[in-house]
Amino acid sequence: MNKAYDVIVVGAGPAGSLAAKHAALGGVSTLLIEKHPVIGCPVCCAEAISTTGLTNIVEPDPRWICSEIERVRLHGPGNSKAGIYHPKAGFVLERKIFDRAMAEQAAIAGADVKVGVDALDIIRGNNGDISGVVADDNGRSVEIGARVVIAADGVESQIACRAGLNPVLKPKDIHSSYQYLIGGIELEPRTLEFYFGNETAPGGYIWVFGKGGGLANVGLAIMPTKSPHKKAVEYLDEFIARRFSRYKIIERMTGGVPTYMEALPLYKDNLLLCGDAARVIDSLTGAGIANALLSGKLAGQTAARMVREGISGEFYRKEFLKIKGRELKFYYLCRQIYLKLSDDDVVNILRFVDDIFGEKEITGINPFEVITKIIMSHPKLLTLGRHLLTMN
Amino acid sequence: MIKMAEQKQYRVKIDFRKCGNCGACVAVCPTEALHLDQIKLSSKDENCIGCEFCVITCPADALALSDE
Ligand SMILES: Cc1cc2nc3c(=O)[nH]c(=O)nc-3n(C[C@H](O)[C@H](O)[C@H](O)COP(=O)(O)OP(=O)(O)OC[C@H]3O[C@@H](n4cnc5c(N)ncnc54)[C@H](O)[C@@H]3O)c2cc1C
Repeated sequence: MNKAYDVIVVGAGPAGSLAAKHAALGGVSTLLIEKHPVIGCPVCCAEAISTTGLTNIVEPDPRWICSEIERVRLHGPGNSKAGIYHPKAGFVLERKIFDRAMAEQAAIAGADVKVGVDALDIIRGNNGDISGVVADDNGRSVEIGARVVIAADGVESQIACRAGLNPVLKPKDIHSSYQYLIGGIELEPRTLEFYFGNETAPGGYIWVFGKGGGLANVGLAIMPTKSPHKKAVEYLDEFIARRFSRYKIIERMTGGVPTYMEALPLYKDNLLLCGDAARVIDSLTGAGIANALLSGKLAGQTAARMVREGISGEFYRKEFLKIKGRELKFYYLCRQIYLKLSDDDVVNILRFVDDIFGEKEITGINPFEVITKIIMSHPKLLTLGRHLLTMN
Repeated sequence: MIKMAEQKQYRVKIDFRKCGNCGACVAVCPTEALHLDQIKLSSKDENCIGCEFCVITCPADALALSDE
């Protein structure tokens, strides 16, 4: 057995690095392991985050901010559109740098960081508690002891499976994504573009998130069961050819965006789950960075207290759901409604959104309120919502 | 697990030129027949039950099953 730690964090994405940082700040010995040799690479992400989602947890740093967001443009079928002008709405990050910076912060807080270490399984002690992980350390099989394990291993989430939890998603509970980083294009600055419609991106949407300097993340997410034969990449290629006359593809990436899984516990014994591994995604938009940061931070803080004070993982579950539980459930319901919309519904909703926001400057937005307003004023959505609620 | 005589043995065919190593297929595999290590996706074909969830979910058209 290698050196044992109080806390081992598996996966150095935003969730894992924040967990390791806060465990270390809590005064316990902490190891952060990442299977890739380079942190932040590859990263499957469109890189947008709201101002509060970021700044509630991390101090913004120009090193990893590509662009500020002040405008959102929504495009629907038949040229329908709506715009929201909201200075200081959020940021487009450079996650290759951001993810590494978060791991650096974990190291500065006192955590050990090891790359090229792939956690393969958990080890159970005689009392049945998890006592560490088995890992492939750059080609060598090792066992590393730990009193608390934090699984921050992303969408593929294998540690939770090993611990007997069931994070496996049905194809209807995941969005299938493809994205290009493209260059040499002109875009309206500081603007996020979204494209909706059952022909454009069945059950999902297309995004164009400018990164400044003629670069953009252009990608889409579709619901695989709505399009079992035509793949995400085909929709994206069609869209890009329509939207841009000149562009250069610089990188491509694929991804799976999980939906929130209320049934998946956020902890079991001395294992805590956070980020995508815990499926704490905003199911309507697929945004997961902010929840990864928050759940990571709370998991790390709790892990330190589990070691030092003997509290239970339940503390983490309660704290996280106190802040996010209602929102996660609400967005999950919205997603179910969204999946049932016709193109005409989308056109109507965009018209409604345009009536509310027009080009007026707003200083804040409460998505919860806006979406509720949209649902309340569209009888079909209201009926759908009620129906879905009674089914659950 | 004991395999019935009539149960088919599937093989997951991965096209590595298309695969983006994102793990979407791993997330939907009900039998842990797919694994993503630091270098690339691999399959444990003896676990595969032929549900095709991975094939449907793959964003890049990189997966197919065969049952020879
Ligand atoms: C195409 C796409 C676009 C997206 N766009 C946005 C967006 O614009 N805004 C937003 O908020 N969210 C977005 N998301 C979601 C967002 O990317 C995720 O929610 C976020 O990355 C989750 O962070 P995480 O730390 O939980 O997981 P990850 O960032 O996936 O990190 C997990 C880490 O764990 C490592 N790991 C996995 N298994 C092991 C193991 N066994 N041993 C060691 N290490 C392991 C992985 O290599 C990885 O580095 C998008 C997702 C996709 C797929």
